Amino acid sequence: MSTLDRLTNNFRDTVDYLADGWQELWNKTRNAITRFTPGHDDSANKSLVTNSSRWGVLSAELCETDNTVEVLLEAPGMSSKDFEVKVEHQALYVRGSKHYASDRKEGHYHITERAYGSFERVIPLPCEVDENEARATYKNGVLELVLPKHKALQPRKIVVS
Amino acid sequence: MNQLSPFSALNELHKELSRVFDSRHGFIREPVAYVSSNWTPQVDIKESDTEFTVMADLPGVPPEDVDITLHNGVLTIKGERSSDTEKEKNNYKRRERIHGSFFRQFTLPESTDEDAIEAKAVHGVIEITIPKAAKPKPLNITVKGE
Repeated sequence: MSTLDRLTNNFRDTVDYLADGWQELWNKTRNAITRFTPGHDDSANKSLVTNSSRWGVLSAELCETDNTVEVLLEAPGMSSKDFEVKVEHQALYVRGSKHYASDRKEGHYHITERAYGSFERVIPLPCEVDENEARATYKNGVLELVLPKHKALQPRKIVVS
Repeated sequence: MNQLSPFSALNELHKELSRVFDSRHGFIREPVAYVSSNWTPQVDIKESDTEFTVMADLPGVPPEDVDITLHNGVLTIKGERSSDTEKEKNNYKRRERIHGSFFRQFTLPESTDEDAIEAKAVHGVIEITIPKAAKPKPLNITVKGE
């Protein structure tokens, strides 16, 4: 095999490898890419407002158990009062806004990759849930929701006497 | 929801792409070949007169699992986001989260006070503060005449 052939083959393998990796990444994250709308926060650092990313990746995980639907959503840098969670038409709506920290000391930004502003993510639910019984916790930047299924959908245990 | 025109969408895309490929800032160190990582945290880097501040989004990573080192002006943030092994679940309907190791390196441009580095974690964001080293006082050299 000539050197050129080897090079061509290697190049082709590399391209295939890249394409596979890209496809996998895309499949995982395409739904998680969320638009952020910047708020009008006067106290914020102007360069951060204009330069920060308009898109954030809010990755979610949804898992169904016998009695509940559990949703995890990665949303770092928020505080728990900035979330608004709602269930409507068998879908979960998570709205929130990530504020520019206004207590920062002066300075200028070299890199701004993180997204700020308000966002909304809609996650379809596999079944009807009881919104009033939902529990939410926010820890290490991950929002965790436990949504109990509607009573009618929960498997009933029949006790044999 | 915002309605986007195709042109503004293209502009956005262009802006994002130039951000990704923008090599003007000397901060970001290209990943080294021998380190493999599953994902890359997003960061903001800010410089003030007295310090550098690095804020990295690390949702789902407990602070004790983040490893931060600063050596010869190179700041390394690495660690691992472990998946929820205690509740081994097979009934996932949606899995977008990426688990596994993360790795990022930055070159800090000015001499910093490496011993005074501080890091704290708030809601999945690690904030690293690195004070600049006190600059040596400029020496005034008087040129003596003959």
